[in-house]
Amino acid sequence: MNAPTPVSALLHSACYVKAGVYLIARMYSLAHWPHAWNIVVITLGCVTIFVGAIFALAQTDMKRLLAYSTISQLGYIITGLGLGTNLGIAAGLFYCLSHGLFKGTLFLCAGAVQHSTGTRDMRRLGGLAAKMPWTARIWLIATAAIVGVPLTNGFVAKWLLLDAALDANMTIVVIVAWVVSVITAIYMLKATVSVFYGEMPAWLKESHVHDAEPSMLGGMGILGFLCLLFGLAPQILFKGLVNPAVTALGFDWKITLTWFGLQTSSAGVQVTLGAAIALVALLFGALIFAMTRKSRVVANNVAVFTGGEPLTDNAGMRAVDFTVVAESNLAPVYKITDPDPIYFGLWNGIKKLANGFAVVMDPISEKFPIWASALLIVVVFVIVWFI
Amino acid sequence: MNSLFFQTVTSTSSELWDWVFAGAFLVLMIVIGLYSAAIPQGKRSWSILAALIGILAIAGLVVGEGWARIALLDAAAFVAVALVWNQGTPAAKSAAKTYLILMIIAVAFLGAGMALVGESNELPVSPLDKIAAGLLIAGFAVKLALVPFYFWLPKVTEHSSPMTSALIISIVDIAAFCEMAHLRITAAWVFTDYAILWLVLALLSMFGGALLALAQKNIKRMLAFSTIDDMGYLVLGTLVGTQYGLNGAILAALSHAFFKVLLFGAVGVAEKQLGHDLTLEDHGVAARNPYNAGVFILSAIGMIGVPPFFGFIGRWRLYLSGLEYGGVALVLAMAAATALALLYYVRVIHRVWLGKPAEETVSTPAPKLAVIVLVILLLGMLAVGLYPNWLTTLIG
Repeated sequence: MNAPTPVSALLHSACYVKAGVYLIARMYSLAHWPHAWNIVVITLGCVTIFVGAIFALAQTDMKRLLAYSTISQLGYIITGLGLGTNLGIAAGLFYCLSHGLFKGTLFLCAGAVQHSTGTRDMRRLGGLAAKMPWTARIWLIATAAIVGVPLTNGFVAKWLLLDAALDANMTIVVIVAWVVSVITAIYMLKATVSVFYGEMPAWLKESHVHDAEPSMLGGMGILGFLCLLFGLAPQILFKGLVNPAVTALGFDWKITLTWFGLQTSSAGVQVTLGAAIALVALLFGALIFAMTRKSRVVANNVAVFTGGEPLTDNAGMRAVDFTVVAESNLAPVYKITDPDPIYFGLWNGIKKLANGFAVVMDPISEKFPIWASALLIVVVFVIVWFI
Repeated sequence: MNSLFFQTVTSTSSELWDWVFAGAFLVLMIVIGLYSAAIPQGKRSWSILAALIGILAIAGLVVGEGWARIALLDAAAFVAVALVWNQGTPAAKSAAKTYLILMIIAVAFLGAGMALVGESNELPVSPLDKIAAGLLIAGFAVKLALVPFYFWLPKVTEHSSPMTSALIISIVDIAAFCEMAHLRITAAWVFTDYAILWLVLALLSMFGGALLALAQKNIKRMLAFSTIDDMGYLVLGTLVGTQYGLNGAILAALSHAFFKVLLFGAVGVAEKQLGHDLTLEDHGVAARNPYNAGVFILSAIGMIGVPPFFGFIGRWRLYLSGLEYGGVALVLAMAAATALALLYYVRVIHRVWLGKPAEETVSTPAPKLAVIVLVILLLGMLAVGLYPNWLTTLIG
């Protein structure tokens, strides 16, 4: 997380983390997977989806939040690959590309915020949409994509994955993916509100905060545009990239996606119907809102409902409130799922083993190399004799 | 599964290897010559001895099968002993003595083993077959510095100049491997009948070499153990002996030769600037010469088989041969050993090359010629990795 933002964007959205995904996908071209492998990969995927999202919830640093979110999203990708069905592989690969686009956009937006304000600490930020309107808009598009809002590539990816899981009778995957989608929406809402909306802190009002330069906006704008393009017309990506890759891995999936990423085959019929109902409901809600609103003038701040409890002046839901709530209520989960003790234990174990081996071998190597070699040669002859 | 798994390698293709290795050695000798012109590696006689090693190794490869090859390659090994002695320090002389005695044992064993196998390469009558196998296995284990017969290599590397170590590993050691690869074709029974012993030596070298590399503080010693680690993979590919196995081992040996020159070269430039041996106690060495640091970092990545460098071409075939020979379990073991290799390289990159220097010390400027030669060679490794077809076709 200490890398410059474009490097973080490159590492977390495209290159570095996707190398592991590539390796897992490539395993299909090496050999036929026994069913147990699929189960192992799906289990790892589901645990990763959940753990990454839970840790993202507790972060107050924008880039750390996005990094944990990457872990969670990688879980979705490898779960798709782990399903091992035609649709699952297609979903995993499409998700991989989609994640590259929306996560790259989010990292670049976070970089623009850091460049402008000098901090990534969400506890010190707020109300930036007023001073960084274009960055906020692009952030919103990418956030919509990661949450899985229809008309974005994230929706198509999630929809396809859920469809693949339903098709493979993996109900648990559907439940985990759905529940964690809600958690994803919560932590992205936290980041969005904490950074771009709400009351702007006094120190930010006094500093010369400005929107990102055109060149920066151009970079993230292109990625944001692609999030929308592949949400509206995912067939472009499927025809050009995903399906050839699916075929190369030894699977065969005929594109049954229409515009907006709606499925027209398998369990997708029901899923598509559900999506259509949701879309109609959204449009209906928007229509009612447009017809009934009285004025375009909206109050800057909305009072927090407190049930009569008096509040201090700056009361409201800020980044730290989310963090405290998450940390206090999910403390046992954080303790159990924190992988650091395992990694440190593993590293220390390997170091001890290496040093122990060197302690045994070094004196022999330094003091008696000839005699030791002679003895080992005798051992070789004895083994050869009895083979 | 690909039918290539079940194809065997012919002696015709093995003759082509010799020419490929001879060409590679010629390129390496030019690189080492230019490098040592920029950073002297020893006394005056060093260059003569180094050139002699190159000539003997190349002649040994192009002269064809037979006793002449064995004699020339063994002579190269003994000149390498003289090269270590030439360093002049008591520690180097002690290392040269150990190297000499173990080379005498290895050469005697290999010579006797080859004599028992004879020109016909047929299985000798019992118990001569077992004696021949014992002599050849022990001889190659000592000469290639496999675990647990590796005692000479770390000492030699630690107390020699970087290019002396590179010459011994990239030319003398790799030429010895070439001899073993030929034996795999001409007397396959030495490998197939004693496969378990070869497999144990390969796995011991992979894991033992990697663990011992992790325990080192001196970077040149660490690189020596990384060679021992890699020899495990080469032995495994040779043992499998199929198109993927043997050709993978040949390609991996070639890439090992080049990358080891690059790694030792980069360490040599850093040591020249620092004025002392490079160890884990040094930090931020990259700040003194970013190009040189780039050479080390990218060579380390290429060495462990990360695409698009040349190292990937051989390593990938070795993985496929591992899958063929020992199934998923062996591939996982190979992956675990590679992960250990990644650990020791990443630790050195992170601690020694990157980060902030502990204190400001006066350093001499890096010899430009040495760095330019290394960068060009590294670009060559990238080019071969991107366009490997001509080489894989040539290897067969």
